[in-house]
Amino acid sequence: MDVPSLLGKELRWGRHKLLALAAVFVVLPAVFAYVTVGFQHVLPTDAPIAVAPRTAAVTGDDLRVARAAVTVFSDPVIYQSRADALTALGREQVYAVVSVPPALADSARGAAAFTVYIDGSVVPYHEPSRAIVRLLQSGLGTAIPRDVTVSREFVGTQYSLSTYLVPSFVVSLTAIVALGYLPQTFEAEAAVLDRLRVETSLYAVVASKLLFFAALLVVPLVVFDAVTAVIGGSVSVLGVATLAVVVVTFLLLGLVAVAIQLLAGFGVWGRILNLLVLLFVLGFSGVVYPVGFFSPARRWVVRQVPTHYAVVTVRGLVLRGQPISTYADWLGGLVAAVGVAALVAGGTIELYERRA
Amino acid sequence: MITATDLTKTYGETTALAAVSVAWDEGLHCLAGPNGSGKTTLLRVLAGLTRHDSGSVTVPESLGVAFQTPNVYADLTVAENLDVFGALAGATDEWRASLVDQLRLDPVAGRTAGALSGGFQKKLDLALALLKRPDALLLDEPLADLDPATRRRLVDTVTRYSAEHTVVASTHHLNAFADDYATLTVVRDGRLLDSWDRPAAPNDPGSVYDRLLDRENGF
Repeated sequence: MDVPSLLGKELRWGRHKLLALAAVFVVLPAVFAYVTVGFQHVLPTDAPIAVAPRTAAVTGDDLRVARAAVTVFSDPVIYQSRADALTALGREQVYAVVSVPPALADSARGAAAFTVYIDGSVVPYHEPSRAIVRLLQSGLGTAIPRDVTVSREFVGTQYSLSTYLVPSFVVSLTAIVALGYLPQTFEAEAAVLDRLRVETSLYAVVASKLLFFAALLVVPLVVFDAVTAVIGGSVSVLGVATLAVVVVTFLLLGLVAVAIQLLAGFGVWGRILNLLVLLFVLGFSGVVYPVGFFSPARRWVVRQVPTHYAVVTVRGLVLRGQPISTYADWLGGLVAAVGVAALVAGGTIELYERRA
Repeated sequence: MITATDLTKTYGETTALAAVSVAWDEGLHCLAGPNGSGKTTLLRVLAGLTRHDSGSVTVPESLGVAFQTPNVYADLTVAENLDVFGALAGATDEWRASLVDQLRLDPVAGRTAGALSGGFQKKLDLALALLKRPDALLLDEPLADLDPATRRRLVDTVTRYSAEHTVVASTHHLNAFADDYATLTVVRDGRLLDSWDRPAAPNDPGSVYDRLLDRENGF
């Protein structure tokens, strides 16, 4: 029989590729399982919530009492003005703003009316916010000597889950192009790389490839808007600010992908590493679930990942209609990250030249 | 003019080049030696594709290279390959047409390079190397795996070009260049074994080369 002989060949081949096989059949499923299980915890128990004064008459004691009442189901942060708290809400640094009325300890006053502001664009938080209102009502009812009413108000448009996922699609596509498709086309250049190095330089090859795909990324945005216009959708993704974030994000991830491929000498390891980075980016950028839904440790990790800020910015631009200036510091950070990635990629080009 | 002085290159424990010095002026210069002798490494160092450990290299700024394994875009047609590298080289339409004509690439201009036979890929690779009319041309095994007719066509093109430029060809097919070469250099184990200038060079370089290697091997 030929099959047993060929199976024997596969086993011998596998012995030489143990690390690659372990990466594909052990590490990848483990990462996938971790990411998936993480998504099951959809009811946040310690999401950051802003506690802010409704008026100037609200004292520090009032805010501290309110904060104590929400501590059991969130990680409260006191803001000194409601405007600052709402800005933080728009940047997804907090997922609700509890607006605190004055004189909570004054039993002579009537009912204390609290308002919980929820951003209409953060759809996964809509349902949990109902529970938060109930918990707040009961918690504050026992903490202060006044009757308590808690109302819930949405800031901005209240979107459906499918619309909420539109920015997720934009960033995910950018990551897939940068870490999936770009490396594949770069690998195809390997067969002609020596000629390119004679006729031009690796720097020029990398730059042209990044520019080409960065320009190409405008196409899916146009297509999305065209299809949405035909079927009567409510959001538009095509805009200068969104495109700027997409291009900067692509350049960052694309430079990482190129650096990995050059380090791996265009081998199978380059493909596997880029795939792992892609999974990491998709799993640890808060692409689908807001970062507040994660454990504190994972939340910390997500906040160190530059693409997380790209996700929140695109959500803010597309769904909340906020100006790019709201996210100027993050965009600056992304551009700085591109600069660092460019330096690293430049280093790998030099290393590749030395090894060649 | 290509000059290299005391070139040394090692890969870990393996010495690919050991203090190799060469000086090649206008004309066709053949570089011979058994497999693994350091021919390709020497050409790659001269082309700036591989960094040497010590020694010095001087090559013209305009340098063309034809590779042992053709460096062509397999997914592009022959014409598109010529377009891409012609634009990089700043090739004129006349020169490009002349190369296509000399190397008989017209019949396959619309075919993807990856679908071509090895011979046509070699010819395309040579055409790409010549697009910028380089002052010096390096050829790594340009005649390997070619049928006699294709081999003759490449030899004609290379010989014609060497009349006014420096051309270095590493090859096992020395007799194919027997009428035209200016110098013959033999390397082995990264060392220069011997070299001849044309007046003193053998008319039958293949047999001389074989005898030289036999002597080295103790036969």
